[in-house]
Amino acid sequence: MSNVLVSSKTKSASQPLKRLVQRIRPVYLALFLLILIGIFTQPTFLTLRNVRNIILSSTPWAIATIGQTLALLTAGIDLSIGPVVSLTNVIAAFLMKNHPNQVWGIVLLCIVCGTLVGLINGFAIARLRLNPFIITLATGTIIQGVTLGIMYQPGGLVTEGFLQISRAGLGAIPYALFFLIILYGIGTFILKRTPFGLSIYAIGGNETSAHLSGIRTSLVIVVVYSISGFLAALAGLFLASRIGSGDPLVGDPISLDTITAAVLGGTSLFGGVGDLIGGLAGAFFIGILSTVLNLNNVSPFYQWISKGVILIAALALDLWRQAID
Amino acid sequence: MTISLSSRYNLNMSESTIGPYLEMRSITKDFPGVRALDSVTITVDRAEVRALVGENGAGKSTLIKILSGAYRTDQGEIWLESNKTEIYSPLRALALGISTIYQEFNLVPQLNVAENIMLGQVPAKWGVINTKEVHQKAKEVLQQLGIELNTYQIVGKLTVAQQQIVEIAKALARNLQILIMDEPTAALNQVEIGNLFNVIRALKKRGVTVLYISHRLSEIFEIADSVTVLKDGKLVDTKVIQELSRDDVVRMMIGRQLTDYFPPKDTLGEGTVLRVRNLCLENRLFDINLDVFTGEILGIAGLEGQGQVELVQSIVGVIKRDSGDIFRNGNQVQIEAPLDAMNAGIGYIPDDRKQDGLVLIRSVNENITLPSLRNRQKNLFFIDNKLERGFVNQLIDKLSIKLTSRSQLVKGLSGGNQQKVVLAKWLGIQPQVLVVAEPTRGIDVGSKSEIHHLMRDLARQGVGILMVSSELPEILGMSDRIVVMSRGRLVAEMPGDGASEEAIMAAATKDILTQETTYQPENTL
Repeated sequence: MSNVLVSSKTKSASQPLKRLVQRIRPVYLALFLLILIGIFTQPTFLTLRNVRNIILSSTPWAIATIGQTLALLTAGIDLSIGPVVSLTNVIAAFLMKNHPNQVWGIVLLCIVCGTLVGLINGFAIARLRLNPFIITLATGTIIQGVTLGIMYQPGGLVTEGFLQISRAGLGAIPYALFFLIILYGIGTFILKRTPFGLSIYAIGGNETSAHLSGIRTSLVIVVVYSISGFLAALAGLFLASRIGSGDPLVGDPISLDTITAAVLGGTSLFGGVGDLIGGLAGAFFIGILSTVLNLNNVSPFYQWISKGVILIAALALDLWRQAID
Repeated sequence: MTISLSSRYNLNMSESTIGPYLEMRSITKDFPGVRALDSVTITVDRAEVRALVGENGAGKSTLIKILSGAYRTDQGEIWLESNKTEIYSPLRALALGISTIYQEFNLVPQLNVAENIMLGQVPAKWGVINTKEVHQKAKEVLQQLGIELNTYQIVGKLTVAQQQIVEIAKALARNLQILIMDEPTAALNQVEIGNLFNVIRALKKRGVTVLYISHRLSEIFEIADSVTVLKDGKLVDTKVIQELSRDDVVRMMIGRQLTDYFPPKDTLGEGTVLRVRNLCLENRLFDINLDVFTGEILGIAGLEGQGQVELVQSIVGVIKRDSGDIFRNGNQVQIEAPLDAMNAGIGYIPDDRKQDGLVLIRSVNENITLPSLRNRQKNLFFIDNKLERGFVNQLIDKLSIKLTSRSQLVKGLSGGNQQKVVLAKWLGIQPQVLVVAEPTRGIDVGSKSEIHHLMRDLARQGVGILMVSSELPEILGMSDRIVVMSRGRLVAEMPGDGASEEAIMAAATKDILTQETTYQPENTL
């Protein structure tokens, strides 16, 4: 409200700023500024080692953000992503320690588990008409319990070969980066160029209208949450490869971090507006932020606080953009 | 607050002879690519009811948004009581006593009538609300409007008409000088409209100026003192209502004589395209049988809320019917969901385009392609871009939808153009049956006529059209055959030619007036 008032009073001064906000998404600007801060405060920031590190630590977040963005686009939300990441991470580390010859089977099992959770979420939301926030919070809580039941403390071990997933690369460039590019490429293509993708936008914009237009809204929603669960499982597996063991709480911040990343990237919490690529930038923003804060020895307390402040700033910018439109 | 208000009011009365109460001088407003208002000047007196009319896109909405502080004018000045005034925000407009009643109300549904009316100025002592005083004050305000309404009722449970009155009362409780009403009767029935007009007359007596936007000319002639006509962002003229006839207003609005309101009817084809047998819906629809012939427009008439909407919704699978068979070209079809209806070649244009018909926050392109996405795929998976562009452009041309680009968001279009987008969606699946509810609700006469012609063209190509409308002229002008609904039953059928408003109304009300002696039209709210 007050923004409207101020901007109309100081019309001439704020006009270019308005246009800038409309054209460039704040997330790119923020990412750019954050990288500048990193470069100026830490001489080691641009070293190959550190860049590699940033990419690898952001990868699970970036993978999971795709699922979260899809859920948000349908005017839903997926709070079970974090627990599914923990679950699959723990299953992988737990089973691989005892059955190092069954890596492929274990990977498949993790993926099936994640997708199944998504399927249940999707079914509950689309067919039983349960509120996405509540149902994914509930399934997430249950899964967190199951995860702690499997492994109460960090432990387990992954195989040497499995470790290579996050370590190997083409020269200095980790394969993870290529994987992300391909995943986001496919995702964006599906979202923008297929009937399924456009149905997601239509459902988030106006579910009744989409239904009346012959869209199988229930099916689309079930598929969206299944994809989200599937990707959360991939993120959990990648984390297992990266840390080499299982941690029942490793996914804890990911549910909220993926929401922050998606919203930072311009996805509306009300559905129907947004895309994947902004979420990718958002995920990297969060990854780089913790790197920068860690390198500068900022206490974890402030890291939490800064994440919260950034989420508020992202929401404020989102509202401002809407007001300008 | 109230004291300063009334003293100010008295002061105005003595000064009101000096000049007009409200002056908007040479108002100009540009949007990217469009000049929405071009040097428009209007002056309105105190206690005058001024109708603002014009086709969609004429600039009415922009003008009232400038007055209500939602937009700022690029050029021009606003004068209130001979003082130059800046209305830089909606709050500023409210402080000046300018209130707007939009179609979506700004009420808190969980609170009761009195709390809503007094919201923001609840009388309280030591932080404790004086409930008695709240209700007493709210009642006083309602009395000023000549309305009796239980102030303890929860607003969310009131009818739309009652909520509208609460909204007006809320404005009146806060220094109301100018009331802007945008299509206030769109969702009201005849009795409720009569009530609203009484309220407007009461406001007029209290010195409130009313700016009234409506597409319904008959209402304007009933309630307005004067009419301002806008066209393409320019002022056509302002005239006292007594100097005008309906035809004058229409001519001023569209800039030409509208000789044929409705396209000429045509001879019917052979065979039924849609047959409905023994359709029932518990307590709402009773054994409905109807046939739609090839190339026919079948009008369903009746008072509002007699089951017309439920009927069409159960035909196209939006609501689940208890029993009843549906046949297409003589073959029975299973319709359990809108998708089934679509696959059976039935298109459905819902009565509420914003709620049900469109995805407002997405583009024209996406909205038009939504029902037929799978018809233009390159392979199993992807959409053929080129094919889609041609498809959408062709429909936009055919329906002459006015827009800046295909990627323009639907919410930025005028009502008439939005309705054309809904129509384009369904033309895209090339339906053989079109089920249409209130096809021209709330849109201007020009677009209305265009949509009527489009419907007739479709019928000529053999499409069977089932049309529900609560506007009798539309039923009479468009239908080849008319059925009348009353209390969930089809009570009369008549040919379109030779039918009269009187005959339809007689059939529509007969059942209600004779059989149900307990039925009382609501005179008070």
